[in-house]
Amino acid sequence: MSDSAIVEAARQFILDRFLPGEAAGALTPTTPLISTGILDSLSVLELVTFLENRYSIEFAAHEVDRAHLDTLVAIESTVRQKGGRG
Amino acid sequence: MDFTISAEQGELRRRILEFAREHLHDRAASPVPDTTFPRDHWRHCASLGILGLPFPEVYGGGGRDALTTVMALEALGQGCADNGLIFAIGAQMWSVQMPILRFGSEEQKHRYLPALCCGDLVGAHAMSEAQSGSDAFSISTSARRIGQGYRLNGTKVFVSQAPVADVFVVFARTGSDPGPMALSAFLVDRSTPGLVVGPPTPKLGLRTSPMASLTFDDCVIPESSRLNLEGRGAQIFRDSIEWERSCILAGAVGAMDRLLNDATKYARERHQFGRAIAAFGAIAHRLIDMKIHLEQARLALYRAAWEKEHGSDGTTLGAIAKLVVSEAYRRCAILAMEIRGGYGYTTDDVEREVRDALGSTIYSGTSDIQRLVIGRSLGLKLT
Repeated sequence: MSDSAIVEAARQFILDRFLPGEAAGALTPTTPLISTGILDSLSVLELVTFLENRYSIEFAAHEVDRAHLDTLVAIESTVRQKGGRG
Repeated sequence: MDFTISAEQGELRRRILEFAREHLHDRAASPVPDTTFPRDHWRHCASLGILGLPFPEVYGGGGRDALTTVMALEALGQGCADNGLIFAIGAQMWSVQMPILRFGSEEQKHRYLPALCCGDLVGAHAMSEAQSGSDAFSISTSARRIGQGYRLNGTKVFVSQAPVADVFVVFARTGSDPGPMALSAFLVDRSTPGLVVGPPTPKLGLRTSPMASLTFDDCVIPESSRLNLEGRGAQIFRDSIEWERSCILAGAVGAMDRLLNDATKYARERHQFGRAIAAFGAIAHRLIDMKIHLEQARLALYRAAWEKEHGSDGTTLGAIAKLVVSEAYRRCAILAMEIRGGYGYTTDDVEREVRDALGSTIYSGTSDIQRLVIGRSLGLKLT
């Protein structure tokens, strides 16, 4: 099964912005992003801005955390809960 | 990417250069230096539309793009030797007006932007604290919810224009966790009870851009003063510092042009050992190096401004522009001083140019911090 468009868009953004030169396969849908340090607090902010602009959604302050953003799967689920369409 | 100066951009630059040479007399270079904030010159620049250059016309701006704006500010820096004034103008445009434009409500934009663009209000940006400089998100100034507003407590330092500002963009902690959404930004009017502006902070250069600390002592502000959503402070700061790093040294590029012209003229007129000192390789090489620094800096500035308008990596290009221009500016000022020898070291205009230039590798993030930012874009996990 191929990854959803949301997973793919988030993966591409993270690869381009924070892991230049890394193979796309290095980032699976369940690779932890925040707990492994791939995303630090600054990159999380950039990711949130990217998702908000791309999917016309808004994050509340308490939603910007590991529970909502630690993996590509979690990111997709959060975006969908907020009405974002891939 | 095309940096050819259009007829319209050329006309704007010519108009600003003439205005600066004619009206912005450099009182700080007078025999008795006047280092107070030159409010009359500030208003004069505002009336020419300089403070509003890149802002939409509906908010009192000129609707220019980022590249045209930095080209215009470069001309201002070339014509006006009061580097503190030029710095103050950039600080307000990029770190006060820009976050209001990009994150403010319509009510906030209409209330503040036209007044800031036309010179009626002076704005200042308050982020740094005694224990929180480059580690910006560790600030301790707090904004606690009370009824329909917030209570601010804490102290900010290095607030440029604080002694003369009417409104402050203030960053404070609204959340208790250390996460990236724990900060919020507020627009605080100077007259708010509990806001105390400290005495001017003495400093090496840019003395016509006065700096002070701000103390908030149970300073109560309404909810409507919050800029954007609660928790958006770090994003707002990141966005505005990116604009600042990309554009605030536009005037410095103009200053480098002025320093080079003055130094060349001096080297042609000053004679030693029977000939103009410009004929000596040691002096000529300094002039040549100044020219190289100037052109590299100009290109980095234009490139970053272009990226803000058309590209997607303003963070990296902004950091590169900040680093390249500031380092070039410092070197240019010191080369200009060396060319003048003893006259450069004594308190004439070049001595002050050096002092003004030295701050550029420190404010808006030191060169070390810019390298960290650039390293991040390479995927380097630097701390």
